[in-house]
Amino acid sequence: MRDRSVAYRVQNSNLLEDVSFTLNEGEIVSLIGPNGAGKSTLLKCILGIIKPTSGNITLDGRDIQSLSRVSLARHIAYLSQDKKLAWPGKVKNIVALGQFGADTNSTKSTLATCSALNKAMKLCQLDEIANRSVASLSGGELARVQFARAIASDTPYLLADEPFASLDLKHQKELIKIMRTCAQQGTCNLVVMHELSLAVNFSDRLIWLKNGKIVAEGTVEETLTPERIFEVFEVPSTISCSGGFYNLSFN
Amino acid sequence: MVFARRGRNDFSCATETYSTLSTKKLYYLLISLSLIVIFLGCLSGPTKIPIITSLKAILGIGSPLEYTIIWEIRLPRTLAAYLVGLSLGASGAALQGLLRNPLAEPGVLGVSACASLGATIVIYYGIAQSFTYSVPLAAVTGALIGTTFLAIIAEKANSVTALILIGVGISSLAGAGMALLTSIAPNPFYLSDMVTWMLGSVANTSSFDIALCAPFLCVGFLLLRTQIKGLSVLTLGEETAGTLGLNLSRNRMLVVLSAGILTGTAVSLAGVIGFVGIVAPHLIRPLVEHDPGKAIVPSALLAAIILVVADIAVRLFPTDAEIKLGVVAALIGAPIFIMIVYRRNNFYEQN
Repeated sequence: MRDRSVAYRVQNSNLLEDVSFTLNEGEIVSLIGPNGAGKSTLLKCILGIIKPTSGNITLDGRDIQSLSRVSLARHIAYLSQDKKLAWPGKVKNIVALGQFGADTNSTKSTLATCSALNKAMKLCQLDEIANRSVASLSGGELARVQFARAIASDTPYLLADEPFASLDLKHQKELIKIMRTCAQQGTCNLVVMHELSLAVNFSDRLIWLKNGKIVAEGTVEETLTPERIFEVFEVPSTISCSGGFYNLSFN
Repeated sequence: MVFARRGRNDFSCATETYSTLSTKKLYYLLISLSLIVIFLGCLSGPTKIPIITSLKAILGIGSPLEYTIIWEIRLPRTLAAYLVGLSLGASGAALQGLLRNPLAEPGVLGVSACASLGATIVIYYGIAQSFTYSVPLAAVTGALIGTTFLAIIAEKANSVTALILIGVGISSLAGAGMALLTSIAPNPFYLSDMVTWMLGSVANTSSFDIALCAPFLCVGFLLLRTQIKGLSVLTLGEETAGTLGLNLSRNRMLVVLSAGILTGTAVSLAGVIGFVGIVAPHLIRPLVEHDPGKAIVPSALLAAIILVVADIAVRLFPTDAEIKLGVVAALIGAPIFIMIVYRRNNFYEQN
């Protein structure tokens, strides 16, 4: 198993301040914090959408500024918060768009691209609706299509911004299961989460962000305390744990 | 309770079943239709020439009169209509892909009017007489100014409605500029020329005019060709497309540039002809699974066919003075435009 890691040292004049952390292979890491904490900004910095004012972001030991747009795309897949599509295309065509930056210069890489597409379709259970128009899909199905599009890129990293927002419990569970399978297959997952009670129950590690600074970083057991929740979210809470599941209640 | 009303929240328009027509078959069909309509274009006109005689004239045998009519009047005119349709269809489909909006079209967005204003200015100052390339150059420049302005505005204006209204504004502004120039035109000859630009016509197009525009068209199509995949991936939205490796600013610049060049050239050949660029892609999109990149070439071919057919209709219509092609295009296209706006479903409304 390759040791994948990302280190970020980012300084963005008013949004992020000296943020640094690593992601490991096979992990789901949640980035949590209140509105305006800089979660999405951090994600966009990693993706190169926003340039940090100072500091650098290294990906497998290389500065991302030195990577080309396409090679960055071959490393990081991104699932945006905005899941809308401009045109009502076919499900399988939309998923295949995830391979826009893929290397198709050799037969070997083309075959790999093809198998990544089939894998993504299968994993997200889209084979049955492959030929349907995305306009006819429900919100849950559309979320799966977007997820499949992201993993079809077959990248070692997956960054997702609120992937479970506006999904009902059943669809959240489905998508979490798919993400867990991806993690088991070796991807590094960084997820921006809004909903704390969901994040603590499916993440391997948590990164607590407030006012552009990392307040705490570590496993759920290590970092989840009522004091920390109060520090970050300014809401008093009680935590109970039963059968490996955390139950948060806010006063 | 049953809701029977087809409202904004149903996808009845977008859930159409995909056609089984393969892309290859679609191309064959459109190319064969193109050849047929171009041939019909050579046959139709006010002078009655029997088909056999026309065929002979096309092959270069027969009397010089018929040869001249076919080769120097009808063929250039038909080809001009074809090329204008090709350019407008392609730039319409490209702008729709770029702005992710089915209502984007050079005519509606005022790009054609800007191109026409450019051409009118050159004619007004008499530059067109001394420097032949000035008309296409001025039209292309006008179109590029219009398209660039729109691309900048499109980024700021989040709603479709705002964009279309800005287009209407640009169109009116350029129209006012043209009206101003026509009302103060010193020379009646210039005046009639300018009116032709505004109404749009391919009558009196010579093979020289076509040869003049050919390089511009080639450049426009070649530039657009490089951005087809990019337009497809823009379906996912700009942010996601960017993270997939698309160079957004380059894509935007090249699409705007090619749409501007194509529209400008079309205007310099035939004046303002609206709505073709909206109707053809609208009909093509369901046949190419709503892929904005794949829609470009078939849309261009279909728009070309539509325009040649409209031009044949114009020629055969029994009126004293020939109706202008732009007028017919608007008569057919505008109702379809209104219909698209009316039936526009939630899917497009999201953007």
